[in-house]
Amino acid sequence: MTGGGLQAFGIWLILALAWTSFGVILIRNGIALLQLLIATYVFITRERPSERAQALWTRQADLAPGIAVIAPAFNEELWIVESVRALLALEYPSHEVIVVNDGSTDATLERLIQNFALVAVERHQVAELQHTRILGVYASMTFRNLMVIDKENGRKADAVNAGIGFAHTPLVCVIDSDSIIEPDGLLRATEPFMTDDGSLIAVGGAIRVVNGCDVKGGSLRRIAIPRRMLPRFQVVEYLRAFLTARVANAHLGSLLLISGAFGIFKRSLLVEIGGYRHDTVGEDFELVVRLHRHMRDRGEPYRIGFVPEIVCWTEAPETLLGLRNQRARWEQGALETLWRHRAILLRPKYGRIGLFALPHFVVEDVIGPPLELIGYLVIPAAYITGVLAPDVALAFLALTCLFGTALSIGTLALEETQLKRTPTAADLLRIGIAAVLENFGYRQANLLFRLVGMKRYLRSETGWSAVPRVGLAPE
Amino acid sequence: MAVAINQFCAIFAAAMAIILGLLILRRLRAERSQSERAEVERRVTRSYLRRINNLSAPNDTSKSYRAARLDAVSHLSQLVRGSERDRLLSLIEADGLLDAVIASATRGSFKRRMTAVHLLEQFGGDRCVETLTDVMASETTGEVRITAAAALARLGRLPPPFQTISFLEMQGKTPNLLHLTLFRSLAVDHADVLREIAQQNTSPAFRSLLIEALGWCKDADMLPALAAWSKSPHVAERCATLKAAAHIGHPAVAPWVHALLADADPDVRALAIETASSLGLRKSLPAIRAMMSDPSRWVRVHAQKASLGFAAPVAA
Repeated sequence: MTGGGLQAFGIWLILALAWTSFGVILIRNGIALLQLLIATYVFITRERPSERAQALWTRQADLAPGIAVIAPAFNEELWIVESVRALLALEYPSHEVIVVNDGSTDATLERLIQNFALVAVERHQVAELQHTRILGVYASMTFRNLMVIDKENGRKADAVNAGIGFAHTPLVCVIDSDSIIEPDGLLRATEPFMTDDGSLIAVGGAIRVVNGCDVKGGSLRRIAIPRRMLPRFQVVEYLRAFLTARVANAHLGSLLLISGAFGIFKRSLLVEIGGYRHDTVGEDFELVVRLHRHMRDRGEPYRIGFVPEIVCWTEAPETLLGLRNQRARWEQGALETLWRHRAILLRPKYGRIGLFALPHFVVEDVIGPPLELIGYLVIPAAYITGVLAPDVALAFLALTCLFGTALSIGTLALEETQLKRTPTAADLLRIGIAAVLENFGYRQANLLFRLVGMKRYLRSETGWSAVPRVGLAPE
Repeated sequence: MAVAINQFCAIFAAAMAIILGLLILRRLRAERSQSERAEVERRVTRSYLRRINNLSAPNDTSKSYRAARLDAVSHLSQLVRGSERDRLLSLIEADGLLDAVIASATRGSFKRRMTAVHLLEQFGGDRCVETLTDVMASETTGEVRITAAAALARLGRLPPPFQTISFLEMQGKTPNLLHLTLFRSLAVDHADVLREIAQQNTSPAFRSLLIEALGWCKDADMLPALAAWSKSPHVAERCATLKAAAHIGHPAVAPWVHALLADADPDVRALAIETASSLGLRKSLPAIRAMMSDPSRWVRVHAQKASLGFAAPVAA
């Protein structure tokens, strides 16, 4: 190939990458805008949620299906007693708490035994879904609805599966060890089951970032926004994810993800599909995709619901290292799931899951991140060298930074009009500023972290990179 | 195209920024008047509490106070009982608040009609019941109708069974937990009618609901019918008789609850164990212990739990 030929090829390649990146970002932002509009419609037209839990209790007390809250615990000696007390105090007519001590090497189990008067009992599992050994089962002499399972370490999925195996209730609520459930969170999240015709198989709820809030005794006392910018950016992200994307997807019957921090499922169905998978770091995403696949293979009508009220608070990473580990794990989990269930992609048999929801995830999680990063490099270069028109370069910037900001601000406006959980006007302004600033650095850093996740997936890494917890003292 | 995208992004961003700016200003204004609003709410609540107790109190009926008054009476209606509740309801009517809520129950957005239905339930009273019944009969949106029906059920004022079934077009629909609320409420005064409907040619799912609801009538006359349904070919119906038996708690149910311990379906066997345990049927204990080697794990777990329950010392 001659020098001129090489140059032409180079220009062609740059332009191809630039336009491909531009196109994918246009599609992603278009879908995000559609989700915002659908979510706005859902919020405007839905019944106004009860302001007081008392009203919910009155309506549901004698009908509420029994729930087992499954709380996996690994090395939680500092927080476990408070967390379990808070779970036992949840406002719900009939719930039990199953704590699964997943091979803790600290005094988690001892603290539980001491503080809840636990005695060893003999209990058989309804289903053996875990891969590790159960070392002991404990019942509380003071709290009849508390059970503690002690087992060998097997990570979260295995711990939750063990808990599911001991549950007898029609529903199970799966949470993370650091989840803080709102006192009426179970009542709100089970409200869809009141009018269920038997087709509702799972419900997710909105989750918010607890960093900066005042937490005492395992319960949220006062809402505040984080002082540091990194968790503040994540407040914006969580709002976008839970108040627009998930609301819209649930409305369209294509919700693919119920967060591991809080999800309610029909126990019998989880047992039927074998519980969570142990061989993925994205077990929550994989479970819901598998539920969709299972129900569509059976040809039975089903629904996966979403409650846009805030039912749970969770700690977000406060350091870049923690964020990197979390986002890389999410990306790796997404890729593992997409690959495992690639057979349903674009297959009409799987309806909007196969034809729209999963392909959207491919665009969002597989193609999108590397192409957007390539765009940040290629498009300015193409503009500087004169091969790309200034308007196109500006449009790329507008789509990534300006449009992204607008979506975040739109979500914030939705939250303010519909949920109003941001404490003050000043806090609203602070989060609004974070919604602008996140597009200049934070968003791009997340793209890099996703590439780390892609690398880990391609190298088949199986380690669980922990996110350091800073605890929940007010800032 | 690029120019159009740039313009659209700029306009969209500007619009969102303006909307958020307005919301921040609105919030700021609300915060500044928060103490004033709180004082208004306190004053209104105190006024109603004094008037409930037949004490004199100022009553500002201006429109600006309407939201505060509605909120106050909505909250108070969940806290007061008996004659105080009746008195509160008469005050709500006298202040014209009830007219506003009744009007909202039949016009306006879905959200507004549902809020009105919940408020009418909280207030109770004859006019509220009348409006809820009208909504149940004539509202076009099914969800509002069934919510009105559930509200009437909790007030104990649901129309008779045939009317309820007709208003809600329940025949041919898959029943849900809310429907169970309705029939439970009807079972106390209309057990005979529910039994008659259940004995008609109707779907097993619908019949199961009716059977289960009969447990709430606490009427021993229903026992022969329940005993007959315990032999139904449909699993859901056999389960429903067990749930009804658990609620009726009459010793006459013991023979057929015991018989269902040997049912072919594991769900029925498990529920029979639970029912026998809750009724304290010690005579079933040997059979339950034998079920600890049942082929179904679900049954074995229930048998173990029930055995332990029977073995536990009874509180004095």
